[in-house]
Amino acid sequence: MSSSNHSQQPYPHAPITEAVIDLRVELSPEVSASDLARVQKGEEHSYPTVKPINEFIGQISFPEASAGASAVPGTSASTTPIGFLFRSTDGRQIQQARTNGFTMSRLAPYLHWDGFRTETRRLWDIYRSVAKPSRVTRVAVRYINRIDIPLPLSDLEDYLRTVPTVSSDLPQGLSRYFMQLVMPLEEIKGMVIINETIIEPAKPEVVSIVLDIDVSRSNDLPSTEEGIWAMMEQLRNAKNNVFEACITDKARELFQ
Amino acid sequence: MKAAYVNHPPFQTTIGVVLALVLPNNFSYAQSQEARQVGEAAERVQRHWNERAEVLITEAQSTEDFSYTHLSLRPVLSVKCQYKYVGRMNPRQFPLDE
Repeated sequence: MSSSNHSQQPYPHAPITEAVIDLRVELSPEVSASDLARVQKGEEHSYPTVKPINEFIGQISFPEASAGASAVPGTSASTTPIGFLFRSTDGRQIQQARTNGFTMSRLAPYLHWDGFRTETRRLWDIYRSVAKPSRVTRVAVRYINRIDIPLPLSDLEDYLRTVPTVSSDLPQGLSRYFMQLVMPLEEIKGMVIINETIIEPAKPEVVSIVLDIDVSRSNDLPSTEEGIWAMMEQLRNAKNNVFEACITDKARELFQ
Repeated sequence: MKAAYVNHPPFQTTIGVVLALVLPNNFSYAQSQEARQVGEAAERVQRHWNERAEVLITEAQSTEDFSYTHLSLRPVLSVKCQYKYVGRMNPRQFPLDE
């Protein structure tokens, strides 16, 4: 994918509804989910709301029938705590400290990358000091955009350059769709997952389309912190390039 | 539009039809309403897909396990008979289970 020619200046009305920085890790076995509560220590005022995160596992087993008896399926369910979610006072910043990783979310209104990255790294350092991950297994930057396109809309391609292609022999009205693209990004040795779908409109006079871009890398990850965060910049640039490649100038006008 | 196929683990394998769809637990974890709606849409796609593929997958698997030996054909027989009308009769006694 070639780099976008568009400036990387933030849009005054960027359609970002959530920005996510996600780091998956391996922890040593002696670190438990309850230990991760210590991530909040000293952050009680900035992130006062705490919620446990549980993993639910359901299982159905079908034993072999013995002679003359029918097999009765067995069911079991278990809930395992895997960490905590901490929410900021205004509810816009959410950090998740889990046994499988650390995730930072910024909900709308999105301000700027520098502030988001700096706060994420500060909290990641606290997580690292508590969880002591043995290694990072995946790093990702995900931006979820909701583009509100004014109605009437005659052609999605007026606003989006990555859309489902419909044969001209079919009706051209598209009332719903869900499209997922998974593409390797050779320049960052990573991949991007693009989810695009129509969701419930924010206002009656628009059609709301989610453009969800998740850029990640799992192979050949740097072993140093500086290397990890330099890579995060690469992922963010790749995400910007994907976003700019998916929209038209008419869409850009919506964000001014 | 030109779109080439690229095999890129872990989401694509040469035989991994189901892996063509990446599910929310393999996305980066997100919290917004929009993220939830994307996740639900992906899960609906998976359900829709599974419901339609299940029959085909089950048939393919059971065909491998199933052996069939056909019954040998028997020649058709012709029987001739004659009926004689003997008049109206009472119904036969039929024991009732109680």
